[in-house]
Amino acid sequence: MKKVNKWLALGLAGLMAAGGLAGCGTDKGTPAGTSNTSASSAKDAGETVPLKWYLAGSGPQADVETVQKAVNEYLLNTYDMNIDLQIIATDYANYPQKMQMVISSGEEYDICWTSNWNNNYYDNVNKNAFVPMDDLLKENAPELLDSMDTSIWDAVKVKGKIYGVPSQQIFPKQNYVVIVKEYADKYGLDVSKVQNLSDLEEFFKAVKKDNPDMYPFAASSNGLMGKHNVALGFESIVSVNIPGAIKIGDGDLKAINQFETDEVKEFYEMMYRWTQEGLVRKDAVTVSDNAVPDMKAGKHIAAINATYKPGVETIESANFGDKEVVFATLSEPYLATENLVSSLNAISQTSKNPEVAMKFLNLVNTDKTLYNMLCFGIEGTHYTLNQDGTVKTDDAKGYNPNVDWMMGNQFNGLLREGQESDLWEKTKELNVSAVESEALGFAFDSTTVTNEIASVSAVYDQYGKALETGGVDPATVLPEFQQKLKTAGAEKIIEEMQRQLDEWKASK
Amino acid sequence: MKGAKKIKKRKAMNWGLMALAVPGLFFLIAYYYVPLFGLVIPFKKMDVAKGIFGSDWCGLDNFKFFFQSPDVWTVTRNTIGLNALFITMTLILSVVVALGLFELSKRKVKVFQTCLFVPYFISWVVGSYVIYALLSPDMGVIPNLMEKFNMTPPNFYSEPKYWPFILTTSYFWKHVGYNALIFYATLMGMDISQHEAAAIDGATKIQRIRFICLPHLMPTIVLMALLMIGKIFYADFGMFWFLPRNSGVLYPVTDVIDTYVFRMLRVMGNIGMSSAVGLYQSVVGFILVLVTNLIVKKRNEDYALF
Amino acid sequence: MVQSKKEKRADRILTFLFILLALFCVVPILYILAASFSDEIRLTKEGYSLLPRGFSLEAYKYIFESPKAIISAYGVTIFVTLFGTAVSLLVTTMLAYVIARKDFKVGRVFAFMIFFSMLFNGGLVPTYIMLTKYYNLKDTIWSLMLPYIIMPWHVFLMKGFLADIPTSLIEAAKIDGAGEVKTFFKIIVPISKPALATVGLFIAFTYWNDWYQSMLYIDSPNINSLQFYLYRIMNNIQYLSTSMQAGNISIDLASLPSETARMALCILAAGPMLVIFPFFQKYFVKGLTVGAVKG
Repeated sequence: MKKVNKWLALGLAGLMAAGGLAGCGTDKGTPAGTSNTSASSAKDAGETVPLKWYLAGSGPQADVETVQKAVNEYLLNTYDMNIDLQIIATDYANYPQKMQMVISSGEEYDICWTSNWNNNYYDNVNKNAFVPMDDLLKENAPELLDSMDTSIWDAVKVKGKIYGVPSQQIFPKQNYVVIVKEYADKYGLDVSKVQNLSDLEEFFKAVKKDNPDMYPFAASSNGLMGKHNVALGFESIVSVNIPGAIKIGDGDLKAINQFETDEVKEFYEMMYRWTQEGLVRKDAVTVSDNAVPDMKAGKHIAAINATYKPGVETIESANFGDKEVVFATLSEPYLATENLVSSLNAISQTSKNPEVAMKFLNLVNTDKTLYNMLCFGIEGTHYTLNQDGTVKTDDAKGYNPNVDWMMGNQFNGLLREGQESDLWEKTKELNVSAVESEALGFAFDSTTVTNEIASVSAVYDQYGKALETGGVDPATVLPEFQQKLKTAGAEKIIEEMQRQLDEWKASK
Repeated sequence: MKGAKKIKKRKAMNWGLMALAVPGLFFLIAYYYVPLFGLVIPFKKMDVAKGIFGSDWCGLDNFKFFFQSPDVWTVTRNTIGLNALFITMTLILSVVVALGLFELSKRKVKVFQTCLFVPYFISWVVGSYVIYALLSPDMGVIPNLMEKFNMTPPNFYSEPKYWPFILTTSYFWKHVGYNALIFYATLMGMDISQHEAAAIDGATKIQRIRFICLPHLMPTIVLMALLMIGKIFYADFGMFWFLPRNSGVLYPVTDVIDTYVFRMLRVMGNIGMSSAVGLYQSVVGFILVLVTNLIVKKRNEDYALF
Repeated sequence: MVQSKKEKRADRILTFLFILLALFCVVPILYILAASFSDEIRLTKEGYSLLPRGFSLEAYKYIFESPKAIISAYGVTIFVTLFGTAVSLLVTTMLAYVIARKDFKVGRVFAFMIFFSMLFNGGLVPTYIMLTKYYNLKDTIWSLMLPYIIMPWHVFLMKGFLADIPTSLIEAAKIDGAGEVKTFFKIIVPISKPALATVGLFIAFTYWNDWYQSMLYIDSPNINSLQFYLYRIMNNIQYLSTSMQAGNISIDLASLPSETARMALCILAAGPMLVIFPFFQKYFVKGLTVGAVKG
């Protein structure tokens, strides 16, 4: 026993000396913001205000402290704004749970990132987690308020009030198919003639015939509905997986159950046919990583995606192992409420300094220097600038969060290596040219049907993904799916949606 | 154990023993008892501005979503059924493994024990990759082997009937080292003189296991069973979430309370609703253990948990 | 005593069965190991095998490209495991000994208290509030230790072992005039080595395998534990590839760590504990086994 003790003690002492771990732990015990070293050197600008900002991403950045210091210093020198910024980055998977803890426990923080797909915006607003920012915006962030169209601000309103700042980026959804050029050329496919996914059937068959080991079209556990709904002609009200949608171009604003439409049925039937013919993997629903490894390995030569945007060539080409790719768009660019609520920053109810937080968000969205510092870190330390002004990032340097679209107005961002110089111009054009949904600005309040939404969510997971990826025969499974959705309360949800839609239409 | 005389009762309070218990009780209260105020959460409509205690009471509203859902029976059956299967299989097999290890030479024990412990360090996410590598219809090791022997391999990820077996095997795979070690360590504390006497009397190995080892293991087996029954309403989320790889076809067999509730609340969820299900799981587990413990206590007081 | 022929044969059969069982446990890990050294494209195309598909160190290179994070993660995990296990083992054993003493009636009350806390725990939010607001442990290394210092499961396990101690031994110490505390440290602890080693090992494993506390309580990048480092990457990929609502947001999945890198991380996270395991083992085998008598 004595030997063990000695060994333990030695190990501990060594560790403490080497890493200063114990010290580092106790240091953090004192609440953040009691001191600000960077501020002491500069002129006095009132008391330092601590500012805590929760973000998602791939996880914490090793060198975030350097960036925080630089931001503090920059704000103090340029705007006489004395803050002590603390960025807390959690990974996407754990972010919802961590935020639920932080929010429910009433922890003090200032800003958090929220959306309709992670750390749910509406849910948080219902919980009273955020402060309404209409007045705050007017008083503290006039530039930010002016930087976006009123229709965008209207779209993020809940019960008439704004609770979050949308980060400007590509907004409309335009479904597209990407195809490896080599194959499109070889089999004489004219992508400009492709209108629907089904137009590719003959092409896929021809590819499969010559390459029996291949599954030309990629599908994975992520499902295909969310990547295909605009092309199928509907916009969803809560989420593509929850019954409740509006037909695109339907002036009446009628809520329907998308899983009962002919379009969706035909789509399921086609997918099932495709798996039977080997155009899609039979077990696609078990494939993770969005099938990217299979695409890289050359097992798939085509994939479908939700949003066509300028610069998407680079990303898709990388997905297919740097092969040249061509695109066929399946719909018009379409703008619905859900696309504007996909990335917001909100101010917490528990914030002690909501005005300062608002001022900060104003600058993040309007000051290019600040925004790029947050996105890329410090030039020379975390990234380098190429001759043409594009950014070359390096993960090994300790700061590359890669969440520009989360932090603020992406149009203020520097371009990354390989991006076209007119990227932002083109994106802005696309945003303006999009067809606007008749229901733009309508936000569904789910509080009265929470139980039903919970039930149908679980039902969707069981049937929906398998149907979308062609794993099961819709002839037998679809009726069962529809029946189960009904038992789970789909009709009640849709009735409530219709009621709210009517109310909203009348109030306009 | 057997025939041990009870120590005579001394003073009403044994302060020495109290002193030994204090640090443990301190941590127990600090970590487990202080947060018990949270038991009000399932009955509240959470409002951050008002705080937990200030939020409005909402009766049993938070429980409704679960008990009204169409699959509540299926997932409850799966949770209890699969857990019961895991508990019995793991207990029986771990005891067998421990008895086997006990008969082996020291060097062999060292090697085998290490091997058995390897899976304990593989998280279920990684485990799901391994099982996929073994079972996937395209490149899976098992389907390929079956093809070599001219058999038509089933598509494991779309046939629910294989999954109780796959899940039990995976559970055993991951936990056998851990559980066998508990029983093995218990055997270490055995009084060796009984074995000697039995050997001299010419008892066979089987007889010795039957009449000496097993009775010695019995209290531990009962203890483990009691502790596991308390958790029978909780499922190992990681296992049930990752192994079936989102294959909805398997859900009638693999869906358990924890995964079901997780899926229900993924789109819209609140802390009151998830806490409500947690409370339900606790209460049922608590009652189950109280009852089992009572039965155990009637038969042999020493075996009881408290 | 000489082993009979029959016994020898039984021993061989037993060894053979154990070899099968050991393979059953180890082979899946060999697949992971082989995958971590495989070539990414070939792995996807040809699937897993016991030998690496091609030979590539890319996965490990990728992980050690920015070694700062993983080295600090190792440091945190090792510190928490060593320190946490030492404290926890001491506290757990003392408490377990008290409830194992059949002559101590209050022990039953304690046992019930421990059992109760195993099932009812108030939930995550109150625990979070308590640790962050009242104990001020948020973002400190102590928040990784406190949750496992007392675990009902370990206490009961230890109680099960200590209940075997013959009461005559304790009586004898009493007659010699030793107090309870002294008896515990001078007599109980030394004779309970297999029990201490077993439970100590389990506690160490709990600390080593934990990622959840890091997720909840740690904000600074330099106090993250090793398992959290692994989990973050694994869960993130799982999340993005299954739960992401495909809106206008598209996260570049091609830039996430490859499957080979994930397997390499798994090996790096599990490896050290498997090396430590045999060190503990010497305390199990020291017991009075039948073999020892035979020998």
